[in-house]
Amino acid sequence: MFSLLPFVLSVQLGILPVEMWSTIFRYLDPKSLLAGARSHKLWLNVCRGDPVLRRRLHIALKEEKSYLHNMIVNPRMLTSVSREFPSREYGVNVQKSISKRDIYFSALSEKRPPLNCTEKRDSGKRTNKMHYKKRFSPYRL
Amino acid sequence: MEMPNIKLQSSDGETFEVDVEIAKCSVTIKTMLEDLGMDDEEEEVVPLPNVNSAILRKVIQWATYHKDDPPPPEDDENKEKRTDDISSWDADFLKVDQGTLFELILAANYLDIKGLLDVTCKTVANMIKGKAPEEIRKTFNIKNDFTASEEEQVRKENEWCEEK
Repeated sequence: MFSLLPFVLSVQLGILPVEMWSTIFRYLDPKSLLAGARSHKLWLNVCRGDPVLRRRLHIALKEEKSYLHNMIVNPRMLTSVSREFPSREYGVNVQKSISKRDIYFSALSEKRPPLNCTEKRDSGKRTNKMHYKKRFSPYRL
Repeated sequence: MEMPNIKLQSSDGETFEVDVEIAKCSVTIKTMLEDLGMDDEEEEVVPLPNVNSAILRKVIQWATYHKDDPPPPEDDENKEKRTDDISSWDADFLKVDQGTLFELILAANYLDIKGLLDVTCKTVANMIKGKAPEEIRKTFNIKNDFTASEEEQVRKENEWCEEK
């Protein structure tokens, strides 16, 4: 089960046996667990070997995967746009700065935008339809 | 009525005299005393080869403070446990360097003191909680032992998690 463990551990972490680490990691929420597993090989192997931790890591990875997927589907989550002056006519004397968000760490941090973004494409379509009807209704009558 | 005392000997030869009731916080010592039986007149010296004197002193200090506590409830291992319910006395007690903290965990595990084990593990868990991998490495002063390709793999891939 723990055969993947490296023989030479770092001095500090090597003090505690593996089962103590898994006891400690059971106190963590999935997100912190994932960060912990990513920070050291020993911990990654501890998390792999423990059935409870494995399940939790699975949940955390799934959650992160869906979050990253959402970022790709929804490019606005990826970038943050700030304009110098909020104006109605875009592009007129307005300096726009677009910065890329750090995907990896923002996926792990607490403050992250909600997963289900409200933006939908069909809302745009609907307004177009309304426009169409409005425009051509006089001819129909 | 005077409480009977028991002598605990640490790995480096120092003996500590403590109340039996306090020593019975430790399930290991309790079981040992029950199995061997205890005579009032006989001097009992319990050797503890895994614990040094500095750590044993801390453990006894903790056990003395917590001797009247109710026994901790049995916990469900599938449930995520809280880590923010450390009492202020315990928080002060555990303001020690990491080496001592780890040795306290080891001692609590060896002596089978559930309360102390819980609170020390929670303290370590709090050091990890809510941090990015880089910050965790800084906290524990460990080096990144993943190679670049391994790290990339660990970062995005979850194939080993999905094999079940």
